Amino acid sequence: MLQPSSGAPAASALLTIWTEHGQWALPCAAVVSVESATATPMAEPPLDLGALLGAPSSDPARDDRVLVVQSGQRRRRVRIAGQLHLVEGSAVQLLPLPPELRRMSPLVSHVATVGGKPTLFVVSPERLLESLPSAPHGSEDAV
Amino acid sequence: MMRALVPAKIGQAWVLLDADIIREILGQESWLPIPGARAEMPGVIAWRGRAIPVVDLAAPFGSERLNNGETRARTLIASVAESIVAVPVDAAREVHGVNPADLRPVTVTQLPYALAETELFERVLAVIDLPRFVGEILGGATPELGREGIGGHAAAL
Repeated sequence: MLQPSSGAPAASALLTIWTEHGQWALPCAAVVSVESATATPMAEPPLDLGALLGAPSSDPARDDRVLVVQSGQRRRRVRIAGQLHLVEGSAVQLLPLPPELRRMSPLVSHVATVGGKPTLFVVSPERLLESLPSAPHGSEDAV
Repeated sequence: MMRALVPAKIGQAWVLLDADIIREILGQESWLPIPGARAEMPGVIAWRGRAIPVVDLAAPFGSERLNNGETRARTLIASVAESIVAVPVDAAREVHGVNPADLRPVTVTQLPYALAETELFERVLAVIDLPRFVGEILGGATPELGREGIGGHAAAL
């Protein structure tokens, strides 16, 4: 089990995303599915998650993955370029993001440490979905 | 009453920080860069079970800034206003007690955020106002970064 500090996401595992520009994680409970970016044609292109989190935006590539993220009644597809891994174990500790950095990283709720070292920024699915405009066709918003 | 100051080195510059705001002096610490963050507050470290921001004094001093994955030999943990921040430095020395009468207005060092100057190690070192620097970062402004000539008069030992 993870060892969440106060206010930590109620997740027992994290889907980690390792990219050239940063390392992030999402609570697995919020990720409905992981799809190949080329697997299924989509009416609307998925949003670039890295760019939403402050990394340079990237053009869609064949190796990209699309995560279907859900929080409450909202669901959206986001695209990510990078390696995906599952992390679950007592070596991971979640520390709340310091208030001084919330304005800089408003979608991040926690810093995950592995072996005592800060390793990943944990994205809040709630904040992520609340920050996004509604899908143009509304098809992804309601579950 | 003597004023307690901690000498710290950033790049080639030695500066002085008030000892009463320094909570700990750690060794080299790993930090996690925040994508898109400003150079003055580039990331976060873990300290005593909490995450705290990293403040890079090299940014205002014109020294080489911390890049992703880079660390410095010492990490100062400082209480600044209601924040606790980590300040990576290249070196830190023991606390020195300085007579307030020996603190003079800034004329030689010309570093941004300098409050005063005093002689130490046979050099003139600036006392840096870390709380003001951090306060300006958190307030979204660092007006002294625009000053000309910063970093040009750093005291190299």
